[in-house]
Amino acid sequence: MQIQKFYYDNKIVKSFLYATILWGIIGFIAGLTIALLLFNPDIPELILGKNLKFSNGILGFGRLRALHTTTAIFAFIGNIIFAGSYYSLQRLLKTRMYSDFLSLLHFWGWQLFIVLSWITFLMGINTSKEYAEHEWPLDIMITLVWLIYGINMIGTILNRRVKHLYVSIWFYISTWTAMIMLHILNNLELPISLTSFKSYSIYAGVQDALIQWWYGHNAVAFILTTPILGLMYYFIPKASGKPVFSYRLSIIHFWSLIFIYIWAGPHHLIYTSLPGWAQALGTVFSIMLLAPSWGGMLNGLLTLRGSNVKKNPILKFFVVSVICYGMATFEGPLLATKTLNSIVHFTDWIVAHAHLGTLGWNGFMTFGIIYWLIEKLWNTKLFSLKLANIHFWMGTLGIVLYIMPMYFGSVKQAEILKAFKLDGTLLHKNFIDSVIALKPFYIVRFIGGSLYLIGAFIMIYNIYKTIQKGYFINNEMTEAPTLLKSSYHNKYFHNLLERKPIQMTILSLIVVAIGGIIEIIPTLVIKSNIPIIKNVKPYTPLELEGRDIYIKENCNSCHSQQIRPFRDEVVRYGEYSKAGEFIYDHPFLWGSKRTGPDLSREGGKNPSSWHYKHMLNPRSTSPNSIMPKYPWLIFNELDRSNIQNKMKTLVKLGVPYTKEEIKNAYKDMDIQSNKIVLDIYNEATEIKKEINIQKQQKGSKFIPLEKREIIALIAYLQRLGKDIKIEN
Amino acid sequence: MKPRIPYFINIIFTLSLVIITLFIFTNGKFFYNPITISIFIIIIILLLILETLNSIIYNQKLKFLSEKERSILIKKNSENYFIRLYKTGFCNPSNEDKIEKIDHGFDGIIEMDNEIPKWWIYIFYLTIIISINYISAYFITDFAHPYKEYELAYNKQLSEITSYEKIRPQATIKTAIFKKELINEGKKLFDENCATCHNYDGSGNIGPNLTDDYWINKEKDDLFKNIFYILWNGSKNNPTMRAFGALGEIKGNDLEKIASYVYFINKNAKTPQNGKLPEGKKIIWNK
Repeated sequence: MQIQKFYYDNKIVKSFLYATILWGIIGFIAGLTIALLLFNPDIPELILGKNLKFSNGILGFGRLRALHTTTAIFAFIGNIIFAGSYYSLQRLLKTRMYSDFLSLLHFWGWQLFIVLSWITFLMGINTSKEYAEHEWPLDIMITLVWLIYGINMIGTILNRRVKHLYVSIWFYISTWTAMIMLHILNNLELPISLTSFKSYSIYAGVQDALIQWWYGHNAVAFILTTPILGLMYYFIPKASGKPVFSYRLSIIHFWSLIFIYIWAGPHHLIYTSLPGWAQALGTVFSIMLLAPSWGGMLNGLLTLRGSNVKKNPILKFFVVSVICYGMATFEGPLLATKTLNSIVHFTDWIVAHAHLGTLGWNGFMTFGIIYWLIEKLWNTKLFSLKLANIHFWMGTLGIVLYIMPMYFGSVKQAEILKAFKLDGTLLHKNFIDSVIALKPFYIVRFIGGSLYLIGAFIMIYNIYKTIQKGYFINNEMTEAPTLLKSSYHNKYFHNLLERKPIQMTILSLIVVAIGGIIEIIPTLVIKSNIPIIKNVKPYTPLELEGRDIYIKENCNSCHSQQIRPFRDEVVRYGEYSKAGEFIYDHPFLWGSKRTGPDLSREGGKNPSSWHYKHMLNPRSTSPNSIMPKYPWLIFNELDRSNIQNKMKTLVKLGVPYTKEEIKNAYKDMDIQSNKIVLDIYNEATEIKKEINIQKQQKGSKFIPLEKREIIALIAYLQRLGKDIKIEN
Repeated sequence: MKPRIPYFINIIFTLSLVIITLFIFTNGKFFYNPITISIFIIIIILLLILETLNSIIYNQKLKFLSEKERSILIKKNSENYFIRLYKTGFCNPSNEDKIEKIDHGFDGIIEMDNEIPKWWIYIFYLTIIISINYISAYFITDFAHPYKEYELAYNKQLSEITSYEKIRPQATIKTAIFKKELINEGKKLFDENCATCHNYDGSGNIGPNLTDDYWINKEKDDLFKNIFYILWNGSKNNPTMRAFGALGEIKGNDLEKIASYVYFINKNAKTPQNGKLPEGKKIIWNK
């Protein structure tokens, strides 16, 4: 057999590795910032002072939160997936990456997408759909870059010198196929014009919610789980030098994991207006997900049997990472049961659960891989094992301090919000009582996060010193026979499949698609799933603009619009939400977390002048509130120029605006905004005085209150839940 | 032949599945029913009989094995089951020589062909059985129907409130009177429910000043009754001042406390603080 000489591309791995570290730090800092904002809501004002009203909301909580999640998921974890897969693919397949050009294009395309996410999110350009906030041009870009990654990966696989595909590669393949399906289907949106970033999701209400969480849950599966398992299967045996515990277990847990995962999305929507059968499916598939997930944990932990974990900080990171994976995947099915879900959904428990997965499982796996790769790529030993150990302990303590207070806080919040007096009224009528009770927990969580960040800085110093010691080879020379055939044959059918990458890709796509098809198509097609409510009418033009401001500020990251059928919620907020109420909601805005109260029946609860004052300074109307101030909404002129385009786009998506209504949009907006301003002036004469003073000072530059953003937002808030109130 | 699973494991496993099924299908009802419990006892007896039959058959089968195989099986069976279970997951490294090692040339990574841990398979089966139960209960019974659950909770609470109010009747517009001892509690409730609009001292913010002599709504001739009336029925002039009493948002006894507090601050306000300017008409009340 002929031995061939070829080179591994280490440079691309280095690029992705640096990007991982850079974005990791940025993502952690963004996370800490929003953690800090939760108990110090006035920090933006502290920084910007009186200029806050000119800031256009660049430091708004909702925008920073979207940045934190995007950076942590797609930039930090995304880059380590690429670094790890580019490193391991070449070695597992004994070939160089298919195309250096595609590798580079992939690298720079991905970084550009993240930079553009930062720019657009800070400007308030987002779709509000969690982990898919990117607007349509960015969505297209993500698709293209992902395709490049796929071509490069499959090309490499086809060029391979090893006949069989290792389990890591199965995971990479399924990651790629599942993500492209999820990303495209969830981001189907219609732009209002080709020159505008603004678009509307083609799905509405319940359907949009189902697709979003089908995506959201499986972004967790196919960005934060399967590729990381792929990395685990390569780096744990490599770092420990031990054989993988069980090949059979790999096969069974791989296929069962990717098949079952996709079904579990609706567990994010238990007790919402989603049809009951879909909720039940979400619950049972989450329960069945336990064993497949633990299969991965077992294979990881049992591979490490007998290796000297105590002396090797890299293995320590791997052990804690895999244990966190086991804990998070045990917690997941429990949270998906209706009993626990009724208590902790919308609370910080979910945040803790997510961070157990990301900080523990993903973060620690990443740190372990980074340390190991640095040693390998720079052909040296770590500068200091002690510093790596310190990093490990700080990170572990950080995770504990992050998660524990969030659990306690969550239970506490549920306790406060669900308590009734004997006469059937709520013990704590004001949501703010629970917010005040949570503050100490938020502070401890912040400390936990800080420790984690400091640990990461220690890692950077350690890496810097290590790199100085070593030397880097851009193109590592290696040798292999033309095609390595294994002596091991056909004991299982799966053996055959492992030699056929294309068939495997197609099969994994089919396996992954089944769950989605069975859940989504009936919800889209069968009318009885969403009973029609006659009174529900489309938003007026002004309300529509207000809704877009709500989306822009990502209000839904703290306020839900979904009242669940529980006594405490119905007494607190009003009649529980019905599927038929959301048929004109492109996109849905149910939210996933209640840092503030639910808003689905906000209309008419508070006077318009209350909203005005509340947006200017939430603490003037609700002392101790942790909501940030939104002075720019009161200061800015509403951009009305697109309203007719927006309405026309929505007509294409099935919202019944008449031609008449579109024609009269501007007139309608004037009438409605004049009415609201009149109400505000009547209720609060001091606002009238203030605006009159502005009028005198500014002269020709003065923007009448009627034309400002705040009025549109108030119009929307006053509309919320009104349709159903008329019926009653 | 495989080593035997001890009888108590089989019984516990089957019984817990029966219990979970029953629990899901009946929503936790009929659990402590004598009939249910006697069914459990019958199941246990039947399982014991089945177990005895099984062991007879097993011992018969053993006779057909070779001496060597038989002694291995007997040895395994005499071992503690839990230790056996543990070994399938975390088996002795000394045994590893016998496990097949697969080398496909994966960059030096070797895969072992260890058996899948038994307990992992059991968990998988258990979750599948629970799920089948769960989903069939959903389609057959009212189990896991959120709106049905809500109805039950609503009716339960209604009956609790009715029985509570039998002991402690709620104040109505007819029975409510000013009581000095209610002022402090009234202040608490006022802060919770009214202060966002009327300010903490009642001097008005978005809503009118409650400490002056000017009133927008006059429905009764006596000030306390008027306050209670507005709290109960809401204001005709402003939808935000909603019918807190009639809507059931605040109950009569609590409204009496709030009204007592408002009455108190209005009567005792020496000079109206730098509150909101007067709204409505100046009214001289009977009381």
